[in-house]
Amino acid sequence: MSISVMTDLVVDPNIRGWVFLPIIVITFLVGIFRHYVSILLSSQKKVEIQQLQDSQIILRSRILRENAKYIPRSSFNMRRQFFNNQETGYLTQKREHTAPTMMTDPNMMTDMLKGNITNVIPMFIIGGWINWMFSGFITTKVPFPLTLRFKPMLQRGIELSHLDASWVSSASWYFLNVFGLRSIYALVLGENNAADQSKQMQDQMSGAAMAMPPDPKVAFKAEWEALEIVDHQWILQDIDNSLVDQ
Amino acid sequence: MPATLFHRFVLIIGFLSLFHAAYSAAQHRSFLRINEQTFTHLPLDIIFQSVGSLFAVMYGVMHIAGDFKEIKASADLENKTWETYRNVPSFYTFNHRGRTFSPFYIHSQHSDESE
Amino acid sequence: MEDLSWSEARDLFRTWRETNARKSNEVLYHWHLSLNINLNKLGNEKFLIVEQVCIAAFDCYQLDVANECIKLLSSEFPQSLRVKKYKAMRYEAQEDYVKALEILDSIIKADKSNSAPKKRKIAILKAQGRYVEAIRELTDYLKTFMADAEAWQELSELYIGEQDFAKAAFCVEELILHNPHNHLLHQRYADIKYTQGGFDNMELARSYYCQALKLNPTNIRALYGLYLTCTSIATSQKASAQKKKDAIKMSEWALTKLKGSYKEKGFETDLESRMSAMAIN
Repeated sequence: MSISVMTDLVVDPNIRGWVFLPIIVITFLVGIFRHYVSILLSSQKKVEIQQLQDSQIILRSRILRENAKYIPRSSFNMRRQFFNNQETGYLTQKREHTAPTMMTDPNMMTDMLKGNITNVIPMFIIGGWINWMFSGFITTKVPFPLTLRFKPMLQRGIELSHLDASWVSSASWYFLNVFGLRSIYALVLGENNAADQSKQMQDQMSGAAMAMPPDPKVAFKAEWEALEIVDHQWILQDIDNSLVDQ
Repeated sequence: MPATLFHRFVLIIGFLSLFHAAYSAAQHRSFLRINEQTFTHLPLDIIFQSVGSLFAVMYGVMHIAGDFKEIKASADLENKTWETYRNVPSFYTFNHRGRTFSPFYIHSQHSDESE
Repeated sequence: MEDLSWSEARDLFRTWRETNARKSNEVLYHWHLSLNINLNKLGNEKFLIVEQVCIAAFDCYQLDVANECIKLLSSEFPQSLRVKKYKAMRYEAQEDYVKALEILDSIIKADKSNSAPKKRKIAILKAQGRYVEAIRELTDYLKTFMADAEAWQELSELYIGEQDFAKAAFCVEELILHNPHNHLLHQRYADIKYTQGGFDNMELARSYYCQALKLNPTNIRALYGLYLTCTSIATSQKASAQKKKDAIKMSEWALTKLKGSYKEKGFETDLESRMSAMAIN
């Protein structure tokens, strides 16, 4: 009989007004605030010209591999030679190791620090505050039954062994919000928002600089191998017949 | 198909009706609870209302969201012409003959020198 | 030109931006008519449109409009190098290339990985008529920015201008790799190969005209090209009898297709005699 008693648990409407909704609003506003702070702090990443060239060459060789079937065999071989030639190929060239390591590059350190400031610290502060301010409430109930394994996840801060697992405590509600609101942020702060647009203007489109691993050798080696084993099949070989047959 | 006022109207009515159906369902449940009856199924009129309004919403959304794209990858390219395709904005030059049509253009000394 | 409301004009501008249409005069017309006044209603697109108008103003030599646009942009983005580029372009429009180059060099100095000012420098060489130097600079540029399809496109045009068709073909191959579903590029490649001449190139051209037609059956230029390459193969001395037979069959097919499409539009023409006038040997 205890189960039916549990389902009939009635939550005070004041909890909705003063705990449930405020947590949503607080996490949402903190997320927005964090977004703008991170924009404010983000430094214009300087891309080394060498790095840019490396990323572009990987891009080009990938395109070559994928679409090789559209160009004649001689043209393909010419390009592969350029990339993969033993002595002069771009992908096989020797280059001294100049990858910046974590500790020696001050830029990397500040970037990490900034990441911490915008991500980890608010999480601690706001999380602690919410725990202190709104602890010990049952806020809501998920509309489906859950097993007891979920109790520590959904009922943080409430130690009631008889409580049905689908009730959610205030601290857990905060965490559910932190993770669940991500897609809402994407919707609100998405591609077309003002902050992004102006950032794009400031960025002056510095090429298609992909994120390159600090050591291009590994990427080059992989690309070299992939390009080496491409079997060139020109798909236009029999195109005239297939066109007339259509 | 441009979105007309009619389609927007259908969409809004559909949504309202859908919410109304949901609310009715919730009320039905609480009515049963108060009378201590067990829940077997929803009344037929609520089911009909929710299915009907779902279709109304779908109809409205389809017209408002815009046109469908063709599946073929080259479909968008078929209407392109070489004239616009070969036009590369990064490499525009401005000293073409068209500019003499501008009322502000003064025949400059540069072209005088070449004469 | 018809008068449009500001929202229609905005949509039109967007399609022009996406398709790279160089409708400078029309852009300025609609700017003066409707967009100028409704600038703040444009929202996110406001500055994209201002940029578009700015370039159109350079193109039509309406420097007061261009100055107005630059002022708008630089008050919004005072530090932006992209706006600085427009200042350089204003000098370009005035043919004051020394000053333009000065600004462009300062942009490159501030950001070495910025591709736009490098492209402008090449455009300046082009404007000055120094095509060989432009080609050299552009190949240099492409050594770093290899995946820049726009630059490959421009290089192919420059090479065609210098009648270096083999190299132009290489550039178009590169473009085909970037965008293999574009019928225009296949047609362009075939055009170049056909112009180069020779039996092997003719066969190659025929294959690529076929590919262009497969991607877009309404490409009339490719149909013409197919007919011309096929007749050229059919009359070539190097071709085997079987190949000649195939080529004749194809040329007939292309001709009926061409006639059909002209008939659809309601034209009756004597295509054969016109074709023979176009053919090269």
